[in-house]
Amino acid sequence: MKIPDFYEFQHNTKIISGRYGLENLAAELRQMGAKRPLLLSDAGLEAAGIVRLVTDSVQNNGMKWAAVYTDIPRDSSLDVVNRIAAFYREKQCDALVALGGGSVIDTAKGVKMVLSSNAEDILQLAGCECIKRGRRILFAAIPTTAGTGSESTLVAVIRDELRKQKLEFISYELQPDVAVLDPRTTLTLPPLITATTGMDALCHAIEAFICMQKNPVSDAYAAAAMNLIRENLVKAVKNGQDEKARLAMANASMLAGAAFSNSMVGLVHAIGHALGSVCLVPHGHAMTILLPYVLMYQYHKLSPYYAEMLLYLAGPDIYAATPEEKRAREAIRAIMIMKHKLHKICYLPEKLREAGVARSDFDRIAELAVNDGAMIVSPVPAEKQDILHILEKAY
Amino acid sequence: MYVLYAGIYQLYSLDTHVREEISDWNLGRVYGLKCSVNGPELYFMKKKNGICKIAPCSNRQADVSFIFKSADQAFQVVTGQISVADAYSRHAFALAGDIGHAMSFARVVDRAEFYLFPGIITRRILKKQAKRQIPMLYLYLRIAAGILTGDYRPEL
Repeated sequence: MKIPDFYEFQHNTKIISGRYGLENLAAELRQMGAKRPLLLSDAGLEAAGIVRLVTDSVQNNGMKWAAVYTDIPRDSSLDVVNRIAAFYREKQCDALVALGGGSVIDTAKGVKMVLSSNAEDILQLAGCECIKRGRRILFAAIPTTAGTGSESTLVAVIRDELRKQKLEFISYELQPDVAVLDPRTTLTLPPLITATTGMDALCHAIEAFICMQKNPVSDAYAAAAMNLIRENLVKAVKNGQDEKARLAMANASMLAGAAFSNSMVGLVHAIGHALGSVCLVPHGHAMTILLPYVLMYQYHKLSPYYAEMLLYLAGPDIYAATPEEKRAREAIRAIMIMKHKLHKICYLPEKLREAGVARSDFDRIAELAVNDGAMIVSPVPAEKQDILHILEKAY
Repeated sequence: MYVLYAGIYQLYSLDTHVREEISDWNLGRVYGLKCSVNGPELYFMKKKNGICKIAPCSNRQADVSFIFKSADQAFQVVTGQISVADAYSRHAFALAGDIGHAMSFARVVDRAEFYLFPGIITRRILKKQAKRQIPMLYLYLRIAAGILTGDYRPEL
């Protein structure tokens, strides 16, 4: 294993994993000094009874909620963030608890930023490592997908409706104090969402393992994530009530999130972000479709890492039985096999045309991808022509 | 940093890739480079036909700022020991502003370093070796001429 000349790694979040993790949340909030927590979630989770599950779990263990706010839309925006920050102040809250997927948790991170920094204009905080610690805002995250890994990451993406652009905020100060992984919060996820979010987590782990900032610590997180996904994703998709599989996937998502937060993501995400912007392809779908084609594009430089990954993607038996010179290709094949299995179970798209992408969109996608922040740390550079080639292969 | 700026300044008219990147920038966009908290700083602005240096000013905010955590890290970048991408990977700088705009600047810096440093350095630090449109020596001569004619003095 090669140690990089220089790296940084930080993962601040306390992890509580297991059934009845939700019931421990009250004690954690008390331990942190919270007395008036604000619960953030969305209307969908409220209708599904997940909000009630969380509010009851905390209240039954001696902590009263100051307020519950469930009017958070699918895509986080500055307006929503500012509204919630005002609501937090009005209700005199002293802690944030975010229950939801990436959008809710990103919104909570935005609120935390606004409250802790007292910035007049949140735009001052856009960028990478510009956010100072500021006032302490207690923050717990309960993910309901597995997932974006937002409960571990140092990124928040928030839309500025006025300027019609997405802003990225990157800072270790955005990581929650606590993340609760309780299988009950993901039991109701439909098979397709389970599959697409699971593949997103796999992509995070793989890109973290091959990216420019890879280091021994992020590699350990990424490898653990890949192992858990290999063993549990298909199980969770086939049987959503399998609590063990659900908990394993929640852990995988958290581990992959921590890995890529420190090691970064690269070309798959750069193109995936562009697909989302231009064609509204869901993030997980984009990751699933693009992953093997980008890995092939980068093969000439990164095949030694792919060979290592075979152990985690296919298991020790297949790894040991595969000749060394074939392991890299077998790793990509393992991903294609998993993709195909998921497609057969829940019609997870395998190609761009299945996801509603037209060839006429390719130019715009490639232009956006080239300017994506993830491109800078892609170990193999890609220009517009290269991206067009990848899109054609994935079509 | 002075040579890097001068290189970018001259390459706007000598290299089509640099001209294309800078032409896409909004008029008036300001980029800032700061070598640690008390270290040297460089600010420049997009104008109609290229870029111009501007003096650091307390009430002016750069649209995109790279603030290196230490002078040593900054030195490694400007002397071609590591690339901008390596520096970003190592969390060597904080980046204030739009990350997409920063990407364009990073490509311009990479291109400038490709001209300013010999192949033995660029093969080590840059992910891709492009084709020079002008000889390296010619760029240095243009940089020297620019010093004599005061091209790199702050305009604002």
